[in-house]
Amino acid sequence: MPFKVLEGIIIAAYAVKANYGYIYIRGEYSKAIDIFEKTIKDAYHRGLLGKNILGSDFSFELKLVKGAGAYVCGDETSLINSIEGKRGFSRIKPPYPVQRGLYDKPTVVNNVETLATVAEIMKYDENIYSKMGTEKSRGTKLVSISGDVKLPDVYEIEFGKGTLKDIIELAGGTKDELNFVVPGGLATSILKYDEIDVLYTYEDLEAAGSSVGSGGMIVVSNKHDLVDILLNVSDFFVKETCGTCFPCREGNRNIKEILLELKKKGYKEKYKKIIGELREAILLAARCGFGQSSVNFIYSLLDKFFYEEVR
Amino acid sequence: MKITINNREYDMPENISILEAVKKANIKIPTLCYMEGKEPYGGCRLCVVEVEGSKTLVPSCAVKISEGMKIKTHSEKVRKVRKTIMQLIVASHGISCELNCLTCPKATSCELKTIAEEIG
Repeated sequence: MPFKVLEGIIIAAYAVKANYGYIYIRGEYSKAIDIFEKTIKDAYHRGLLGKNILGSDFSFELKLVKGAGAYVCGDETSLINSIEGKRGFSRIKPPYPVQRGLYDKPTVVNNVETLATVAEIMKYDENIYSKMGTEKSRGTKLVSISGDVKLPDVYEIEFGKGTLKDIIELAGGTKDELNFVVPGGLATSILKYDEIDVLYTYEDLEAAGSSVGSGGMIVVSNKHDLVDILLNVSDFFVKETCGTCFPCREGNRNIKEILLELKKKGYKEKYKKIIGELREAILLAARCGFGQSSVNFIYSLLDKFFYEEVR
Repeated sequence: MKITINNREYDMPENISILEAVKKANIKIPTLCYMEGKEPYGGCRLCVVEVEGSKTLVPSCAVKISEGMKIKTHSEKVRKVRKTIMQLIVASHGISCELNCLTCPKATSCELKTIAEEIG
């Protein structure tokens, strides 16, 4: 796998005529860092990186940067700030990174999954991915399934070939009775146990009110307390918000306050209105994608499990 | 450059922000973190406006106008979001029985208070 990513990086650099590249890995992922450090060293040794790659007139330097573990550094502009040694928080867009990015130079930022796919696409004369998936969701997606499944792992799923239910089956099925699924990480809306008969494509998940997100699927059984889950997620966003803009910083803090009250005093009708208003403000006015998506999980869980009981 | 603000057409110079254009049109948008002459920071989010074709609201201080842009500065959506944000800002201001606008020596020259009263 590291070679596929490396190949993708070099191809991308060649395509945009870039001579300097960085691979940014979170500091906690020490195994990935060790592997890639070796990969880069070997690549330099074999002349796949550096001056005049394989005797061509194309030169490309690649450097590995270790992140300090902030969630918001997954956002491209925050990531750029982090590489520059600045505090990891988002920049105002526009200018977009392709206009003015790292050290104020035009920059392409891509995910490793995309880059690995690039390598695969370039390998064949014909694009194999164009034959897979559906019209709007081409190719495959690496889905990392965790939570209450028997075989949590990373699975490569072809779009449109199976439902969420099939993917859970693939991961060995749930340990206890299924309660809900988070299709794409904590920034996406949940789908309840009776909503998982949805095809795994961008368009179908969107129609169901959620999204493919990062592909980090979490399966949750009915053995967990919903309020504890809510508080855990809320706590995460309160800790990880960069604090630059008010809606995200104060909105998430206030949502946590409400959830703490909910734990103590039980569910009240007024929470729906307050959290609904906060969600609208954060969704429409937060400064980056992190903020905009930070209430999806909490709101959908409340909407599907608490509000309905009252109705 | 021709743009539309609140259903009225204006002819504006190029390369200015939405906020500057709106000011030229004599329309007032509340701002806190914006300061003329400095790079926009985009932190307070009070200057957000609705731009046709954009899913989210856009910070008028940070976005430049473009040809044919249709802007709404005080639509219902904008006012609602602005009010929620202002509530969040005031809530984080540490107002208590001992320390509030009645006891604060800065009350007569307080930007926060002025804008809070403006938004309502």
